[in-house]
Amino acid sequence: MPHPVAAEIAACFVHHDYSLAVRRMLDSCLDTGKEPLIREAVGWSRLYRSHEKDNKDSVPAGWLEEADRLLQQINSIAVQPVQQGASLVEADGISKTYTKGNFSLKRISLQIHTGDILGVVGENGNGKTTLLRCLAGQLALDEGTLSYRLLQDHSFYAIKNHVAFIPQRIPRWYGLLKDNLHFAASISGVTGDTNRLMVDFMLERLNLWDYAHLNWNQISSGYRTRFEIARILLQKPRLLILDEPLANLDINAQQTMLTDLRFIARSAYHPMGVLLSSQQLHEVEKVADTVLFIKQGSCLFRTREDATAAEGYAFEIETTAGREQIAQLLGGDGVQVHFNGGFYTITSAHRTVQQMITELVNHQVAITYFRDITWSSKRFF
Amino acid sequence: MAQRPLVPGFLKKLDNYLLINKPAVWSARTHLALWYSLLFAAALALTCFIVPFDARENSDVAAWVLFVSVIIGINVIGWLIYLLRFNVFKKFGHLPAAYGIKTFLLYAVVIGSFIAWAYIPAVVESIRANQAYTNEEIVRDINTANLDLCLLERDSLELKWGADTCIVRKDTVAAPEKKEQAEASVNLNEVAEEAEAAEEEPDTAVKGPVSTITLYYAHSDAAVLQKRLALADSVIRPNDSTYVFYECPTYNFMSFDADAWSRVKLLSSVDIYNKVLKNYRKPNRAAVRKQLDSIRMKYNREYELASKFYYPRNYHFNRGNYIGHTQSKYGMYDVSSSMNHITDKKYRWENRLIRDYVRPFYYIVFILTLLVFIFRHTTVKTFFLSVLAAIILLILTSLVFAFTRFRGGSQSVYWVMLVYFLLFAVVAFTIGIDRVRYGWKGIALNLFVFSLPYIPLIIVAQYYDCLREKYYSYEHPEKFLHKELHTHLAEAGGLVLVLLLLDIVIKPLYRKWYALPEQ
Repeated sequence: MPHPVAAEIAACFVHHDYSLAVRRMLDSCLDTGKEPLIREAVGWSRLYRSHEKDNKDSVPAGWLEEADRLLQQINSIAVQPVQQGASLVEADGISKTYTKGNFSLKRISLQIHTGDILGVVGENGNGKTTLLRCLAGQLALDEGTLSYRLLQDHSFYAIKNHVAFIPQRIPRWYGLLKDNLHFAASISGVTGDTNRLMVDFMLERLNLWDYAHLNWNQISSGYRTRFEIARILLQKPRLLILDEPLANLDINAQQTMLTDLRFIARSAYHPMGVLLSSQQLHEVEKVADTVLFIKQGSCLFRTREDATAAEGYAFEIETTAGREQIAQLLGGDGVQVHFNGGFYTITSAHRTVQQMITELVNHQVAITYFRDITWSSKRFF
Repeated sequence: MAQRPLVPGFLKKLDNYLLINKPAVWSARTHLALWYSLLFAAALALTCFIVPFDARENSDVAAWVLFVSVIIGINVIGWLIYLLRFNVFKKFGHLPAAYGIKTFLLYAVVIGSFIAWAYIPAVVESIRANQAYTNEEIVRDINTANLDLCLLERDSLELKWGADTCIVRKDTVAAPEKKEQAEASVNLNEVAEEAEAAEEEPDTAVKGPVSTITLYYAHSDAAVLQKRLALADSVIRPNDSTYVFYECPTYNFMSFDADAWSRVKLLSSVDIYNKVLKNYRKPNRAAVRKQLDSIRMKYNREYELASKFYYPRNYHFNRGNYIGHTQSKYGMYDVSSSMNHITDKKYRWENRLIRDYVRPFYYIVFILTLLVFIFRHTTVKTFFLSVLAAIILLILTSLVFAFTRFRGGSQSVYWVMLVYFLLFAVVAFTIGIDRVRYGWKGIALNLFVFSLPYIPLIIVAQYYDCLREKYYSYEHPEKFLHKELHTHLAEAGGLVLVLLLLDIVIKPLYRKWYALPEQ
């Protein structure tokens, strides 16, 4: 049976999306669990990366043929189906009040499964980090129960061994970055040649090779986040919790990271649950299976469940047209227009997204940005 | 792999191997610490060999030890900070079997290698002193000097042997079993006065035996008598219970324990008496003087002493007696002092090895290792709070003792220590049922671990204190016969206890406490 991703990789080659093809090829080779194949893939990727620095639009000679050979090998190996759906963490009515300060995280219930990505969004100081730290076993709960169903050992040491938490402010690393990665892998039981291979793989997969021999002070905050993710992934956690991982990343890196998280969560080699908080609502919503919107410590909205209950439609537009003109064009019929200084938020009881775009285009309104936020948590901001 | 100065290739390979295969060992950095420790030890030893040295001088070891101790302190702190970088335990990694014992021993090895630096100046000094003067050479010089001085000063020497008569009263008083019985039946003050008076009484044994020593208890008679017989220069036994002990006057103007490791033995006063005084023949004074001068010049350090000696050069305490007079006349005080310094350096390791060197080494290494182990298994904040708590507890306890006019003696101190230990232990064990991490319980756990190794020692000390309350050690030496052995066993037992409990009790408690969620 051909590998499910093989077709996707082949399509990337056709459309010259080489960077994505390399990442997916590495993932696919990792899924096979065959070390020689992974080693070959790492070498193949290295060839491309070193060529890419000087030649953006071309590939090294013989590289595509090598890719074909790798794909054939991947297809020839039966890959274990992804263990999706197994419940990882179940939080039932958990709440937390700090003894110092007035903030309370009110009762929240949620469930995370293997392969799931759960996004937590909300304004600053509304309880996202508190929720994440509670789920990571870092903060004691006032109420409710938290169960890590897949873990045989339910001691907190075992929980923290399997639940990785990446805080927004990543603690400083000491020594060479690569040594830290080797150490992370070896304390998780990945030793010997496998340790070397997995570190090389992770450096290649997250495109960190050129920085591996530097230390913490020599890399930017964005790369620090990537190295921290690489370190955590080498420890093979069951649940990955990231607090504002996109905060220090440029826009391309944000997209790359989110898609990588998607792939990593559903990896056949080591599937895991991912829980992340972010201010980048749309990016998170794109990749997350479920998004929780938290305000003042309460969960106000959760996609999947609450989206069906949305009343009316909501859009965001950015235009050169004035507020009066917009209101005049779209006014009446239950349409409300709000302007926050940057863009307009339009809510309508009846007009769908197609109708709205048609109307704006017909009236020759110059639109620079349009987004349907009917099903998005953005409505609550 | 990080570029570290002065690290050879094999060590880099080992470092790399440990990093990817034995993270717990690698993170202790024992291999690197030992290597750098070895380099420093070599540099220190070399420096000690290079610095100007005169074996006849007073030892400079104290200054060296102070200097090296400061370096050791800085080094231990530096190593501790370096250890903060990687920690398998605090990263919730897989802990290998016997992790606790392994890491504890690794820390001990590193700290031991640091503490060993303090002994290097003394070792080098001993080596240099041994190179400068052989064991036999010193003994021979002392013997020659003593004989020469006797020949030259024969007329001013004391030649009359002292006599001391001893009447042994066997089984006159039965030894009481208990201290209380003895106190009830004997007036100890009277006994003391009697003994004092006897000591001051001139001995007339040569003219007619007079009792001068009363050995009080029958069971101790034999021991004292045997000892005196062994030490006496000459003994006459006029009857069954009377002994006249003769003591040869001292002819050792430079008397040292210098012959313990020499094939040549020091001449005793009796030997000297027999050799040159018993059948005295007038010597060739010029030749003898020349020989004596050559020894004096060999050990002379007048020049060096001139600036250091507190007293005037010609000042001696005992000029009144013939020893002081002779030493002063021939300048032998300096020679004697120089020889003393030389033998101090040469033989400093003999007899005192365990008491003066092994025991301090053992305790310093053990205590520092325990502190490092605790530091590696608790939060930095809790560690320093534990130190603070221990100091505060000590101050408060001392204040309570002071204000309550405490008169309980060492036993009560031991009881207080045991009570504290039990308190820490109880609190530490409740961590097992906690669902939240409490800082104060972490402090109790740290103090429990830190005080654990001293418990056997406290129990032994307590036991012997109780015993001392009931019995006098000189009455019942058999009850105190194994005190030293028991103390040694308790000292070693502390270490064994810690090693036994490290993986069974201590590690699980730390593991539980450290991983618990915070409030």
